[in-house]
Amino acid sequence: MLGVFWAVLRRDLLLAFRQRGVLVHHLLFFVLVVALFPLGTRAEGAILVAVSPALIWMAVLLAALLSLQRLFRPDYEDGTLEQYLLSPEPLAVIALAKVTAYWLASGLIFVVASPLLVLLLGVPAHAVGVIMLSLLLGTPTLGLVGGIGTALTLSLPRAGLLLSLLIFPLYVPVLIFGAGAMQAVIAGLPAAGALYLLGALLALGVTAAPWAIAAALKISLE
Amino acid sequence: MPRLEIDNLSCGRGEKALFARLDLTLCEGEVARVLGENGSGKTTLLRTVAGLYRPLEGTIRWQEPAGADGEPATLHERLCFISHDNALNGALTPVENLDLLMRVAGRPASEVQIRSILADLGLKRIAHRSCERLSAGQRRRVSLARLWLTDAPLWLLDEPASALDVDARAVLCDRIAAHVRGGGLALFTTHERLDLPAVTLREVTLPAC
Repeated sequence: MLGVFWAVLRRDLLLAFRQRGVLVHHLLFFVLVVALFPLGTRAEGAILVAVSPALIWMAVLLAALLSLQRLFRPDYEDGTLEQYLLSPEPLAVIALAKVTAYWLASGLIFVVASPLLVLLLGVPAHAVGVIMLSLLLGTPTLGLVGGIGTALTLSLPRAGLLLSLLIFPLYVPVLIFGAGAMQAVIAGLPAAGALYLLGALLALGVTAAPWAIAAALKISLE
Repeated sequence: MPRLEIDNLSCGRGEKALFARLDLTLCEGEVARVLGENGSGKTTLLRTVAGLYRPLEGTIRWQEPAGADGEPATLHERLCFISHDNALNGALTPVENLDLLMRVAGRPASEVQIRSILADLGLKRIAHRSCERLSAGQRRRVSLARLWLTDAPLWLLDEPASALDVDARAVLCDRIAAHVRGGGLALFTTHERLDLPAVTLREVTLPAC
């Protein structure tokens, strides 16, 4: 079971490395959304800092939506996905491996890029650690929840719009607590509560989402 | 003795059946070719037997004496399904693709094994080239290399010979025949002529509904 997990994880990371242009594309999208925002407003420093949590998280959500399209689609189109379904190993393990690889190649990159962006917006340096931690706890949940949505919409052509309608409502808790943790630390308040809740959402996602993704994949290939 | 039993099977997509009430028993060392025109449900039959589609009616059973652990084997553990799609990712090489496919199928093969099989099949030159740069026939041959790496007793092959040249087709026929003579089971569809040496080929016509 672990063997399949590592094999799929390694293969997807190798693929992400071979097609690194796509990663750069998603990262650029994330950076540009955040970097262009101040240019479109007359907002002064204090206001920018105040809206920065919402801005960063919206950029993360949009970039996640963009990258999620590629989570299962290539495997679906070339027939690898049906081989996953026929595997004697549990499909949920393969689904978890795919989401993990997806997160390492997209979410983690956003986490690493975030300090630069929040400093650009004028957020005080002491807040950076908590901001990164909130993204570190929140982005895997986005991948897990988004995985359910992409798996469900796999057999539909032009699934992008439906996917956003399906998963954005489910992203609300992550958005609230993720941005909440950032707001708290910027205001000098303890952020632990929001971080704990993000951690709880992640724990729930890791245990439940792989099974939901597996079920959704089976429905999509039926 | 392992046996595939298909009983009163009706298959189709959605509510509408493509064929109805198919009975077929495939025993150890038997190979059957599914006959039917385009759209008659050949692929649907193979995918239903593989478990990808739910049958509209009827049952598919894999019978095998329980192993040493007392657990009867399921069809999934005994299956090698080569579908119409090659299951090769264009950005990966044949060796990388086959490595993943064999691991997912629960029959891991070492890189040395994969490379020697590819060399035997005359694909040594392309073993480390990315699959998107291969021709359709080469991709098909790479995908079929799974048949040399697997020890699964039940083979379901959907148009295995598509895009293959005459020589590659003969090699494929030899492999299927050897598998069947060794006690394996195979169910396949084809539009090309496939002569299996020293093997009796059963023919299955899908009953119209």
